[in-house]
Amino acid sequence: MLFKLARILIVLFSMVSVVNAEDYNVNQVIQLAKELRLSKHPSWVKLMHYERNVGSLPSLVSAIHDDSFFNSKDGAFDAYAELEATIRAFHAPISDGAVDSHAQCKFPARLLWLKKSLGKATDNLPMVYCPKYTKWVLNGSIKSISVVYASGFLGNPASYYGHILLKLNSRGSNGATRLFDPSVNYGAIIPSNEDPITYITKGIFGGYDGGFSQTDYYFHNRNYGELELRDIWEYEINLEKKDVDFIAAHAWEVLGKRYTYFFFRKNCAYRLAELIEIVDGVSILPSNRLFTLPRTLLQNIYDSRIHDKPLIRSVDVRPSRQSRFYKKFNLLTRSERSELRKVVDNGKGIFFEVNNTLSMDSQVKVTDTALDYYQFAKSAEIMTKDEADSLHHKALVRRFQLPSNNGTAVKSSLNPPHIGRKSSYAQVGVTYNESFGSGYSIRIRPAYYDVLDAASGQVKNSALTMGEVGLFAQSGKVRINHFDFLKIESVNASSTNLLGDTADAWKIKFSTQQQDLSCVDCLITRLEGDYGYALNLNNSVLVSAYFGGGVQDNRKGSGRAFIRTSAFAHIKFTSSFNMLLGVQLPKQLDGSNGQKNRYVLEARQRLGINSDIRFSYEENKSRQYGVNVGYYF
Amino acid sequence: MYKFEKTFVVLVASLLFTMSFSVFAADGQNRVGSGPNPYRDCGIGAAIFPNHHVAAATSNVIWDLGTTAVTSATMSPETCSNVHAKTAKFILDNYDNLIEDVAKGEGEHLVAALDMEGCSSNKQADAVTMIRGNIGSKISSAEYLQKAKIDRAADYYYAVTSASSSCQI
Repeated sequence: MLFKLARILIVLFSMVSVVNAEDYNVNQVIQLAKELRLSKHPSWVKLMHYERNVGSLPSLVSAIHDDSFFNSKDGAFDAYAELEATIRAFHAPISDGAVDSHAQCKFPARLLWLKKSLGKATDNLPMVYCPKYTKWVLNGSIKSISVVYASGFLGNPASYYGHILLKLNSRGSNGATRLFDPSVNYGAIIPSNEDPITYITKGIFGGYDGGFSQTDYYFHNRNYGELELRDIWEYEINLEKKDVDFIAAHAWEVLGKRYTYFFFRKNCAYRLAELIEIVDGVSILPSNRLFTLPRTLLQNIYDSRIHDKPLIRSVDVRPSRQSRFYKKFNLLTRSERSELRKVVDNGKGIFFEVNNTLSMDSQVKVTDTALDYYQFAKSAEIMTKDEADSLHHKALVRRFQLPSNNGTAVKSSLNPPHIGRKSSYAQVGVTYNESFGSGYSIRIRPAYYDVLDAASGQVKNSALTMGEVGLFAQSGKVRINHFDFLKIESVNASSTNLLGDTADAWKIKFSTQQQDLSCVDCLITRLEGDYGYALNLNNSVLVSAYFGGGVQDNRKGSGRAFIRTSAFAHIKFTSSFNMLLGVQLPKQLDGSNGQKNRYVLEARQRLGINSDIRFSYEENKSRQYGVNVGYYF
Repeated sequence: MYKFEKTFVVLVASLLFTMSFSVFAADGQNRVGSGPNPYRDCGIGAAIFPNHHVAAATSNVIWDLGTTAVTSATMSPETCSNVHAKTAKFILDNYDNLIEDVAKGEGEHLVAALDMEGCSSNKQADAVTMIRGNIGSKISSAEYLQKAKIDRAADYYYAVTSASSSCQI
């Protein structure tokens, strides 16, 4: 190490002594870069997105497979060739009318880094003005960067785990003008009319290209917050101006360049973390090699420090239209709610002329809540677009007749998504089964949550699981109890019980599981689904009822198809203790006697942020009791 | 062949824009000082993003959305300045939020539009009052109810640019 350092210093000294800064020609700059071994420098590897090519040559290959990203024809796998070609391209003369296509304009982050690494040796580079890049960085007025998180959305498989994008905050931007700030978004490039099976398969196994796109931030604000009803969180990163500029410059370099998209690991969160990690000293990528969860990335960012300061400067929220509606509704008095209910239930729109006993202030609050309700009802498809627009218009007309607000915007009380437990879960415990005695149970859930432990930023009363495995160990033998490829339970729980806001609920599950509790060697593969309604009886109790069915492989008389009715209740006794009760009443369609009624009780006591203990009782041909301790990691 | 088709499309589009502009001007709404109708004269038609929601839900990525529209608008710098085109597109895309903001007399989207038009923050309260009066006088009319969203957005755009002319920084 000391020898290397000495050699570099000797080379630097000799070159500086031989030539003055103004005398550096391109070959000398390249020679200096070579002596400094810049092509192997971690920053160059990150700038080029070289990744280890395990088990084959070349050993490093860029994640970007787009010729326009490289100056050398071998740049995708030859770091030195690309470094040399980049230095030559930076020295190239400026051709008339094509300034934006000069390498200095296309690769401003490489330019910044090379200038910093080579110092005066780069003083002879031609000065190039880049109009498009200058516009992109808002004439140098980007003051900070925010990581933006849109909470999970069960309407689209690619967004189950939330979505992450980057926002460049302009200098002086405040709550208003930041809507025009540039944003950078990574996602898969999907052909139109792709069928769902192809979409999921290709998304998981790298069948799509992915890339960064840019647009004004208000597009995402509208798309996620207004149309998909997802809360948006902004985490402002605490970086120095030079680091902010470096990230913005690198984002410009990768805009529109093609990667290979992988839903689980190399997804939006992964690629976005790479953009931020371009800054020395920032390490935020989750260590999990199988998948990158946006929420885990947020937690990593929030827990990170740079130069002994927290990496996060501030956290801000943009509540969705639905969240804003619920918040306003919950602040209404009884008489105001009653008036709103009358207005909504009559189906004709808002009017206070008749029997109006509300104060002016109350009329404003009711009308503002009605405006949110009609927009929410449109996005949630509670009513048709035409109906919602017509009623919304009537509320607008009424609102114009009422006084203006005076800074009375309702503040959000939503909990930020980085708070709370980790995303993966492991559980061990003891189980007693009436048919085959006691044993040990093990459950591992890579991600994400179930009805009892949905955390901040996750859909309440719902469940989202992929790849969960449950094992049962007895007398030295370990058997699979269940393997859930995918399990989703979506409850769009109503907070208001207003017309149409009676929540629909659905479930889908594809798993391999024991046929019932009387057998430990009866694995069947089953696809099942249910549709129903849920109702919040109060803040602590939610009940739901479903009609559904499923198909499965026929094993030991299990039958191939069934329908069923089911009902569930989720009761929150305290903030740390809750319980799930359920009953399923199946009916076989093929005349077999495969399925029996199933009764479930599961209670969860949170022990700490990342631990819990659960008691479970289940009856399905046999009875089973369990006590399990869980840990989130 | 491709070049011919492209030229033909541009010609037809230009003709349609010209025709619609003529109709618009005949309505007397394109009054002096209000500037061109950005949605017709600047090429920011309603057809630009007809289906935001579906596009986003199925692909989760949007290539260059936004820039395409602004670029087409800024191709006519004499009639459609970059700033006005950005404001116009913003109003069309966020009309529901903006109309609520002006009805309430405050809101993030309305402030963003005024900022974009260069209205100084200490004069925005007066500008909002003007816009509220302007839109409020029309919104309950039967004529307004019959208007397409793009025409309502145009009304809004005129109200914002008109009010902003008296509060420039």
